[in-house]
Amino acid sequence: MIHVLGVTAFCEGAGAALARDGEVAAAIHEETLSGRRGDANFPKRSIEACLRIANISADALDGVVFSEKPFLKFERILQSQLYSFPRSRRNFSRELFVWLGDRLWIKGRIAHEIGVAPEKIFFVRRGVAEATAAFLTSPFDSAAILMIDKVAEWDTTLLMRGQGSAVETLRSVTFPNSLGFFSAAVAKYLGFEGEGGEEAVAALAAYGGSRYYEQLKSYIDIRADGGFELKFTKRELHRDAEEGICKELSIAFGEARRPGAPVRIVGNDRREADFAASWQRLLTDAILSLARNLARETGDENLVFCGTVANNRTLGSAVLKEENFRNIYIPPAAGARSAAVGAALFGSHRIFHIPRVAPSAPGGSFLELSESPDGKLIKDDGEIVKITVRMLIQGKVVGWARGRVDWGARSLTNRCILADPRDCNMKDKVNQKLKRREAFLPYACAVLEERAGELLQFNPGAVPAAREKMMVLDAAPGAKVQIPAALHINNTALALFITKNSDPLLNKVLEGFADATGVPALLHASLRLRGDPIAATQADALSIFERSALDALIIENRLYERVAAEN
Amino acid sequence: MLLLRRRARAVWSDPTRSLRTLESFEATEADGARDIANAAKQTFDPQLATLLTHHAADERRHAQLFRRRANELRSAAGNINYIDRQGDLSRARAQTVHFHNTDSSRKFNTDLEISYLAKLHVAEERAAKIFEVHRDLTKNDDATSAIFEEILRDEQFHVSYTRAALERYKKIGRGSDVHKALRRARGSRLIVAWKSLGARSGAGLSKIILNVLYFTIIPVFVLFAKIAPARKRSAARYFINITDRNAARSQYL
Repeated sequence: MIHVLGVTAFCEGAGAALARDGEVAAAIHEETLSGRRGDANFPKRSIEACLRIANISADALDGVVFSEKPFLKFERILQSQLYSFPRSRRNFSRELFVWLGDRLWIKGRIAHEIGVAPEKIFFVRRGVAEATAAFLTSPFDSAAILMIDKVAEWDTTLLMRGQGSAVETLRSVTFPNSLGFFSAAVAKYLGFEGEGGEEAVAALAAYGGSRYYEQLKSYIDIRADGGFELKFTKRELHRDAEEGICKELSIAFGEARRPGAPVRIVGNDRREADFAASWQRLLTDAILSLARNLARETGDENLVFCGTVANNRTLGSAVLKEENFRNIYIPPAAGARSAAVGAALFGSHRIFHIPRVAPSAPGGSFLELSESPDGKLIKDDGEIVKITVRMLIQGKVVGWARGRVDWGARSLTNRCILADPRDCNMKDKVNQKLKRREAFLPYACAVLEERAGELLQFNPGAVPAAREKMMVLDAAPGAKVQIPAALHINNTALALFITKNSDPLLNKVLEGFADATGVPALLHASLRLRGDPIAATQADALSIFERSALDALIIENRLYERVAAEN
Repeated sequence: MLLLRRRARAVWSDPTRSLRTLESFEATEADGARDIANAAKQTFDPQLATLLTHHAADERRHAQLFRRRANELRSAAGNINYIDRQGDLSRARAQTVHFHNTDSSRKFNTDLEISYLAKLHVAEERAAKIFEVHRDLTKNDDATSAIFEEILRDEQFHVSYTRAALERYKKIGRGSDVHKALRRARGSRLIVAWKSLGARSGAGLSKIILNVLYFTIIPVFVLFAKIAPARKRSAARYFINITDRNAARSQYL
């Protein structure tokens, strides 16, 4: 057996993944174990956990692949310091202190912390790792691959081709031209920071018109060959791309919105909504230009779309509508979050030449069943289905925690919240009970794939991405009456397709709900509180239950139900 | 203590440092919980084992309280700059600060137990003093102050039960061993403080040197960068035969 460990560190989504004979045996983000959302530290806990799950010691590792080329990245950082001189004085000492003191010696650190020989340590470019993860976990044997991120070493955008177990870079766009940074800067300008910022902008865009489009367009030159160039001050881009772009936007379009300040989405002044809509239109133009060129170059009908920009889940639909590609796959762990898996798979297939196997969903199993007598024991899966459906029909918000932690920032089905989508107030109820998100943000809709056509309009090519909750689809006529809580203002829904194979138990719950109500769909969200990572262990899940107003929580086969206080 | 107050005051006036401090406390409490839970398995005394288990549970709870508060502050403040954390250069400091009971495989004999209890007692005394200072300085932040208040109550219990355990050893004629162990524990903290000071001073000096370099050496390279023609970076440059293991070992190509 060949064991390859992939490691990502020093960015949001730091973590580790272990591949055994080319198949992902375990994959965990460091934030899941430390409890600190966005934990960027060297993922020692994740590494130990991966080894424990695979039941091997560090000696048994054949290779460790780090998902970055540190010297290449350092080259870019140094050059940026030079280009932005003397404005880079504050960054210079901080960056060099970190790099000279720690990052440049990562090989030694990996050898020391994990306990492997230095000859077993390999490095892969971050963009290649992300693309490898996305392609090798997709259902495609061959595909065009579009990777768009902030920046890894130098690459911000990669146009690639995947075939079998290999990915090949065709063309790239390099720093400081970065759609990822532009996207993040727009999110920051609109007062949405952190990982969910781009999603918030995409959701907000549905409320506005594109009155700023022409003005925004002047900041990016989209070329016929798909390449693009940002027209912001180069020095500022090199000094701090996100902050520099945000500052220029503030000068051109007015003061940035403070996080937490009211969002203007109704009435005559819908400034934030209009800005978001303008940006969404511009971003879509850029993505479509890249996709067109990629389709022409590869001639492939499949597209794998990855990188942080792929988190903007309306883009996939736009690409499919243009019909350059017939099928699209977007991995659930976008951006650097997928790099550890990519590094492990890259090592397995490209260094150790293991043939590609069928894609498997990575994840780590951490649910520690305690002997707590508090939860009511449910005797079997059939009973779980009955109880869940009953509670959902009663209008309760139910949490589920079972099996492996889903890989990525969002949960698919193993750590989720379910509610009745027929109640138009249910979105507000879920917000009040635990999520406390901005009111305009929609929730996802878990739907039986075989009956999805009753509620949603979609191209069959969207199915792979919809199974990963990475596709926003148009609602079918009549869906507004059936699932009002799951629809966004523009009659779209973020869909999560469920089949008997993808999740047998949730499939049964959806079938039970459909039998009782005629609606084969449920409102769906991740089991986590704002600012926290996804609940990993039973203790995390119970903590969420205690700190929120969730009506019920089912942890494996134990039910925790909130009882109204007696007067 | 005066120095601690000054530093703590500086911490709570800076959102990034406040967040890092809470995270550092969380890590310390979580590490302490593991350590104490291990010690509970090593003692032959069932009463002490129960107390240590209870102590470990307290430490875990403290870690959770700090984590939650840190997450709340992070959500409220937006993107805290992670550059310093990513360097993790306080590793050296962290490793020297804790007295980890590293060999948890063997049971305690009397000497080991006295030594461990003395270290634990001194650590809890110190923690109580530190948390008291932080509680006093966060009086205008109810949520944070309440956490320190709650933890202080537990720390006071931890100090008193470890003291009582050491008193029991004094009563059975091991008084001089207890005194020696306490002296050693207090002395080792001075060494730790010295190492910590060394790490911080090194960091400070490095920053000064780097700043000097920035304004003396870097301008020369800036000139070269401005007059050199821009190189076009193409994807082909980076497409090395990636089945070659040596290429994959490279941190550059």
